[in-house]
Amino acid sequence: MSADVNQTERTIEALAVDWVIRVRSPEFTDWDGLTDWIAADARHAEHFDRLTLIDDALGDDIAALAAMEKAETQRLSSTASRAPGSAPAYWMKMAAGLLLPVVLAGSWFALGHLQRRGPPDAIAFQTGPGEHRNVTLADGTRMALGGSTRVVIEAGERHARLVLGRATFRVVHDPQRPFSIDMGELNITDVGTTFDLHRWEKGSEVAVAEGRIRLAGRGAQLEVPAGRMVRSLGDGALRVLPVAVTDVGSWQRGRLSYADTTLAAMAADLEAETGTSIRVEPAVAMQHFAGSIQVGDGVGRTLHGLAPLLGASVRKKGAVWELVRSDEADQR
Amino acid sequence: MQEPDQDIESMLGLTAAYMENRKQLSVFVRARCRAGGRDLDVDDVMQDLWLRCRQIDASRIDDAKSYLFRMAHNLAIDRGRNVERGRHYEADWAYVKDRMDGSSEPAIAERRVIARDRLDRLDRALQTVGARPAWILHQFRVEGKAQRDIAAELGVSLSTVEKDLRRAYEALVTFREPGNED
Repeated sequence: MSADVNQTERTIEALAVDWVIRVRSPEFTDWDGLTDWIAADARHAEHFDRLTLIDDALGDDIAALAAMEKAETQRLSSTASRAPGSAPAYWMKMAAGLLLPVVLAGSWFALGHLQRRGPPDAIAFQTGPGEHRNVTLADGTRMALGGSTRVVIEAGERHARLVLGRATFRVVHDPQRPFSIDMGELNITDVGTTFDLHRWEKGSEVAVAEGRIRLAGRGAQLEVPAGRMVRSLGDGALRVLPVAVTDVGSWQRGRLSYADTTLAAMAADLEAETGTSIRVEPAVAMQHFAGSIQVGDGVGRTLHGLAPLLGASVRKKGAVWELVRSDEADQR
Repeated sequence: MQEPDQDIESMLGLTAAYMENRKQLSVFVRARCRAGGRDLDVDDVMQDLWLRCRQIDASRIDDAKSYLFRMAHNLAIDRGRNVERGRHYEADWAYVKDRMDGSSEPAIAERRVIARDRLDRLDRALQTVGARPAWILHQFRVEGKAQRDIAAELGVSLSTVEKDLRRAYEALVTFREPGNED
């Protein structure tokens, strides 16, 4: 007989759970149904009340738990150190999909991410504008991330993806397990090297400082030695250009070097490295530029120095810098 | 209980809905207030509800009746919680310290330990239930996602999500005894 009572209790509890879940939805409208059910039997009301209070406290508790797990993950996910000279007070955003499988094997929160579509066991590193970050992977490979950059390291750590931004890699060579990086349609495999990658909206680039890399993609396979860079743009062609070895990865020292770029691309780089908003008018966006700029000079000085050479003028609207066509600016 | 008769004001917005649904509302409130062994004052809650109705601009509320019941539901939760808190606080070491010398810092630290302990119990409950149900619970309860959206995101059926969510809640229910609530 007591077994029956227990059975009923469990059934009531299960029904109460159903009601609590339904009520949680902001679109719930069956208040009459709920009223009828809780008024029908004191036990119904008891269970519903108890579960409602548990559910009410749940939101804060789960969020707190998740935040703690995330913080723990952040702490353990890399041996990152602040790069000297990197901009202060910028946030570091850990992107979704952040896991450290070995450490958090028992963590339900981290495991939850495994259920998402997409590659499991990946660690994402992301920097804010103007923030540089050095990361050493388990195999000793070192990456330096530039501003507004996102790199995803896959399981086993010998494969990475540069999603956006720039990163210099110093790869520990292992002929058994070559380090490989995907950058959009391009794939780079190391042969024991130091190389710099840059991916932006309209294209990507690889420059080699030491050793050589194997580049595959766009129907091509190339070996790229030190002192050479490869540029891939929307037009589909791969262009090989010479590059000064000292220029490779010079962004780490605050210098952006360009063999040939557009004003728009350069402005985007400057934004990524400083966090300052720069708007480039379409009329001047496609102006070509070759040379170096010093991030440390500041956005204003840099733009004022460059603009006249490219038929553009600089103005500031609030916190946003603007590059416009020269004659237009003069009309103001 | 002071409720004005049908004056112009009561014809408007939420107050009109209140008058229309008063009977069913009070059945709901009575059932909610009597539960949990607390026996809250039903008239008090109804009065509170009425006063709030008069202050709210109902022009942007589509479903006044649901809005009212939702408000009553939340009032019952808040009051229930305050009673619990009151009970616990008085037995709380922090309360005693507060009264004594106003220095409750160690007591606050202890509260943190107690809170952490509660989180640990929650964590363990979620571990027993499994990764996917725990993840679904998080998406549903913290991220506020609808079950069908969670199902789409995970690539599983809606009924799978519904089952998992139920399992997650049921695990929590058995893990957390009433009276241990803070």
